[in-house]
Amino acid sequence: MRFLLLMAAVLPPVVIVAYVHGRDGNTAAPRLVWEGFLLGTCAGIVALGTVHLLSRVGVDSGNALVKALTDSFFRAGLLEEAAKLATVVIFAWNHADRRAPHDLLVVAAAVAGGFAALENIGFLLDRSDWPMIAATRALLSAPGHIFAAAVGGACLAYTELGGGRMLWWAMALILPAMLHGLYDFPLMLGSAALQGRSGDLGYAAVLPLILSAAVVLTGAVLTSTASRRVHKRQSDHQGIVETSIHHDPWLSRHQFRGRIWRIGGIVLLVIAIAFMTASLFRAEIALATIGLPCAFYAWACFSRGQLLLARWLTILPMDRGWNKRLFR
Amino acid sequence: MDGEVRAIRDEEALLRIFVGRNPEPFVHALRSGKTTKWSGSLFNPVCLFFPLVWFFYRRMFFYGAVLMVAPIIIAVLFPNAIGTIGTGLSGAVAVISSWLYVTYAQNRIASIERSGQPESVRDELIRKAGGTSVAGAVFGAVVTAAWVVVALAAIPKSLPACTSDAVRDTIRNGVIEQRQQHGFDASVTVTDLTETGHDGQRSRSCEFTISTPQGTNRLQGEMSWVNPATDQFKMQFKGPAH
Repeated sequence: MRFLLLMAAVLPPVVIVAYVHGRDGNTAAPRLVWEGFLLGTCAGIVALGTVHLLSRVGVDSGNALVKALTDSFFRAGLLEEAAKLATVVIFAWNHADRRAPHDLLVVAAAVAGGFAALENIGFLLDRSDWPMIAATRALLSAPGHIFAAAVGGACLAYTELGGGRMLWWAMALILPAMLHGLYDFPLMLGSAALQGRSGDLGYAAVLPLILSAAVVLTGAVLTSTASRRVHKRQSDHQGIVETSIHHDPWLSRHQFRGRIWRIGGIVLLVIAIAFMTASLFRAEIALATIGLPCAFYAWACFSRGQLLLARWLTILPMDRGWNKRLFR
Repeated sequence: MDGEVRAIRDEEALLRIFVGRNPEPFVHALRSGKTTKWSGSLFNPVCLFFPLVWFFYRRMFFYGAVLMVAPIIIAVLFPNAIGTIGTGLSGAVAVISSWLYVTYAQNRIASIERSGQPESVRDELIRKAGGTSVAGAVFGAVVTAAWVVVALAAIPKSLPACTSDAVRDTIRNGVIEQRQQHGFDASVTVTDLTETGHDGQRSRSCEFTISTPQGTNRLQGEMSWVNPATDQFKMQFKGPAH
């Protein structure tokens, strides 16, 4: 059971980081990305320790709104994003495999993925209702962490691409902190408002989740836009950048990886369908909330697999140079 | 024979370039590795107490991160064995860290050597791939300090004894609140508090006698933490005592 719990905590961030890496055209070295993921746990420990120390000296104002504001924007937003940013900066600037400014976006996403995995473990451990919490966190918290940090990573990339360095450094912290705060605020205010109430809570219970989901979606759109812009700016700035040896295919490796991702997608799709069907027949909404993230991750796995397939099909009739230009 | 000696000397020279500051312990580890002799000087005391600081200072981020993640995974999968495994892991890391670094350096050097670049470029690449990072060491120290804080916070705090005044007041206030909801007055006394059991530091079971103008009842309740940091606990009434 504990192994399942561990998988439920770790796999969603892994899939999202792999997806961001794949969407990005696999430009960053895999070693860089997955080391960043592991180091994300360091950021998690630093944030956890700091939050714990602050909880000792913190003054409780008694006002739920003020508490939700300080908790979401300062404790969760600013502190956690600062820990992630420090990890990204120290790690990425010291890593020999970092080739281009754009790698910072993927590294930031990877560090946030590790952070989210550690946070998931903390939230799921010793809870009887952990499948439900895991499902909610897989759908909202993990993508929220990763997309917010990726936006910060894009700002870091801009610091290397010239113009307004100090501004971009500040934005690398402020933008993710704002996104994180906006994500947490409705949830924290909602939980404070609903404390002690029971029975059918209706929209009061669902509305904070909808607002937080909207923030996660905004983060995803911002990440996608920022990724494109950084790529373009990097090309303008440096011309065609020499890519790492990790760009060298080849076919068998890509085919194999694509297949693995698609198999993962099929497994998740089957689980999602099973949960959805069970939810319909037994009229239990709880089962659907587990099925929904499974469907989401199935789609992410398929997309990752398709990207590898598309990449393979595109490079097949071309030489390596063309491939590099195409995916820049 | 001459070629072999030259190869070893070159390997040492490349390792010195890779290591940067204070290369002697690692050159010694390289020689020990070749002769498969272990000597006490390979033991790394810094690594025993501050492994993250050392690994991040030496820019071995992957190994540092694995050292960070491994205890977490062990703690989740085998919560009772974490103490033993953790101590063994620390000792093992202190013993093998120098060899680990040399192996890591050799792999990086070999991959750069295979790149086919001119010798001066390769030397520069090796220097950049290795070296030290003061920022990394500071980061490692911060993470270690945070670990200590988190570990101390994870030690469960003792719940107050059933016979303490704080527990008596909590029970009394709870009963008064319930009575007032049903239109009764606040004249309640709580006596004969006794402990009937506990589940580690998570919960404590108590029995107590509630005396009101309507009568006297012997009840039981379970005490648990709301927030140990602020000494907040709650008492859940479990009905009449058996």
